[in-house]
Amino acid sequence: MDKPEKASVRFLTSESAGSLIAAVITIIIGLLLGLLILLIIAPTIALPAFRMLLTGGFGKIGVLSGIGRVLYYAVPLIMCGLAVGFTLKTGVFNIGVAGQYVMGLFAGLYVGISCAGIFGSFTWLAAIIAGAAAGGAWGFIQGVLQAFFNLNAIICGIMMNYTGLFLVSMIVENSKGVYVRGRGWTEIVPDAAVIPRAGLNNLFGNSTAANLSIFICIALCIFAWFILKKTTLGYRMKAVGLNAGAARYAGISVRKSILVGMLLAGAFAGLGGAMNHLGASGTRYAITDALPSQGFAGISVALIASSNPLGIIISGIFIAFLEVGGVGMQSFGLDPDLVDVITSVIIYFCAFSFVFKYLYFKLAARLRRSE
Amino acid sequence: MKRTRILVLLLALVLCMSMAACGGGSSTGGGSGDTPAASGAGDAGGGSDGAQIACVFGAGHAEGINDKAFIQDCWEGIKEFGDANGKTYAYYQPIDDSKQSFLDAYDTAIKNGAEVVLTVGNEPSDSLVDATRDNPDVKFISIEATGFEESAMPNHYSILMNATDAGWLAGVAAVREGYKSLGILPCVAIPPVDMWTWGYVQGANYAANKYGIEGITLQHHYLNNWSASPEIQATAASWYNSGVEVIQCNTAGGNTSIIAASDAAGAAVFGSDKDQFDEGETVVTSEVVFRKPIVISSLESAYDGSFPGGTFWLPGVEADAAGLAMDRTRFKNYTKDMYDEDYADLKNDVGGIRSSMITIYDIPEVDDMWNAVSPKYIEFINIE
Repeated sequence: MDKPEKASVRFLTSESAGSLIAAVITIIIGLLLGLLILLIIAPTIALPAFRMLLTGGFGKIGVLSGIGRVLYYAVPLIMCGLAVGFTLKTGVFNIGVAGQYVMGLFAGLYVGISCAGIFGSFTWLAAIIAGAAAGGAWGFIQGVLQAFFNLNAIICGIMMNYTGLFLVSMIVENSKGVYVRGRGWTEIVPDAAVIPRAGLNNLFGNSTAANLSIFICIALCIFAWFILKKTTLGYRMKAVGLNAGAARYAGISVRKSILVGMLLAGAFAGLGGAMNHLGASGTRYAITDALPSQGFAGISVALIASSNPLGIIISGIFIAFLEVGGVGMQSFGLDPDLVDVITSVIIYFCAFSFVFKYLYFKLAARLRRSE
Repeated sequence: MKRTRILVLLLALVLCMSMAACGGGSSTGGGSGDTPAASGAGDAGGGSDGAQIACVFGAGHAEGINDKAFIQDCWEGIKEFGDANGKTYAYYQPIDDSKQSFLDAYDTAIKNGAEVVLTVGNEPSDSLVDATRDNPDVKFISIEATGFEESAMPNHYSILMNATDAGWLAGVAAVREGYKSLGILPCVAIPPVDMWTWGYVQGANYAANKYGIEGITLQHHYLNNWSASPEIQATAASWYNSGVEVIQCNTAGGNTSIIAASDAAGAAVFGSDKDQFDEGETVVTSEVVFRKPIVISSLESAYDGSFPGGTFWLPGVEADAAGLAMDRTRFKNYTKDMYDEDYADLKNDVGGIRSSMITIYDIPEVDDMWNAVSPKYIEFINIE
């Protein structure tokens, strides 16, 4: 056996390869069940419709513009997924992402709409920083409630979601120059506050909405991975996530880990909200009593990627890909909810990913022995 | 050792099966080439690949196409027209309610063969400017989008149902029926929704004045939600508890939650959009605007060459496109004859009822439309 083969065997028997294989298996099972459902409800069109879903509808809308579209819709999913996954590593289930997302998008829109005169062509940058700050602050408050008052993370998160949502509604309705009275939504985002396309329109066509924010997303995922993997802070956070009692005994501050985790997660979610509303040609925020779905989609994204920040990039793009295909699938008269069904099935099977991992490692062990 | 072997075998089987099935799925799809339309026609709700008529509506409508309210009404019109004229149809719900999502949904629809795009609701308003400009060969019909009263592209026919008329008739009916405590629960503060409210308030005011009825109170609250939810039901229930006798509900898919609250309280409720008599035991009547015939006639014009592109239409009682569902009602005092009399008065503008009515176009500098209307023009009922 020469060296490169040994390296490949080492990779195949590694922890991350196991996670990857398990994720792929769960995704395939999810897709197969989706196909099964399609076959039951609409046997004659099941295969072409499923093909549309699997190809993201690229056959009709064009591969390049399809990719551009997927990258646009992936941005909030990746950021919310990162907000969930990052805290999961520290042992906190951040279900308050939707609230942090709303706070972030509001701050982003507010700065973007009302401060265009101050920041000029860098308004978009100021706006997304404001979004990250607002989301971070909201996450931090939740962190304080959990770390110092020992509140249940789930209840705390859900309540903070609604508090954030209604707070934003209240502030928006009373913001002159930002809110359009009688229309129930915010003003149009000025051009200076729209995130630049960064040349992606030349690549994917002018109708594409893909913009700089996808690069920011990927950079932040790498940043989060670096923190968790390569820094003392990340080591401490993971230790708290694995066993808070043992970590405390070893002299690690559990409170600090939770606070830092929630602060960063909130900033990620807030940035996701701001980037989603300031991307493309800008999106108005309409007053609503319903929480944004992206906050919860983030949970799926994180679970599929086993909370690995680098995996979250892929799972976010994957879910966005299914969503784009789901829109195309409607040309067959099928409900786009099927995409939700498939994602849900994948998540259910994520619970089995340990079984798949276990089986895979058994196989890998045999592989090694047979060498 | 034996068990391990079985496990490994099982894993291999799962992997192989999934790979094979997955490959099979896509290769079969690939085998049928680029003509999946042939196999798809006529299935799954009448839609098919390559649908010629596309219905696009907001992602926020969780009930989807069967919202038992205005989207379903329009969709039924599309289906009727499509089936009668051999046109294929499908609906597209964008990923979210952003302008970009709508543009992407139109693009998907058009590239999948749409010749006519019919949008429903106010959400697409922003996107229609770009969409009509970028797709000059596609005909756009918008139902309830706003901002196109003055000008629209030549391939865009903008229709806003005059719900003020239907609301007015409901307001008159509520007062003449004998209700003293009225409630209004609209979804959001947008013109197509506010129109119902203003009509209702002015109708109640008119009837209170005309018949000398005193002591009528009226409450109003925006729900900021247009899908069925426990929150809406709780709000409506608390209103009934506090003595509200009848609620005019105007919240699309959320109507069913208000109707449920009314049924539970044994109170009364006015449905909206389409006849909701069968949705509950206490639905007294429904304020309706007849979108279905309007949708059908606009689709006919799109195909027979008489497409009134670039124009705006506000159909109301003059086109017999608005009114109350009076075929089946649970009124105790208000009769069909009384309704016919009120309807004729409104249609013929007796005493300038209709021409003097406050509509969304009468308040040029829009502040808070609701506040602008209520205290200034309403003298005979108490707004709480």
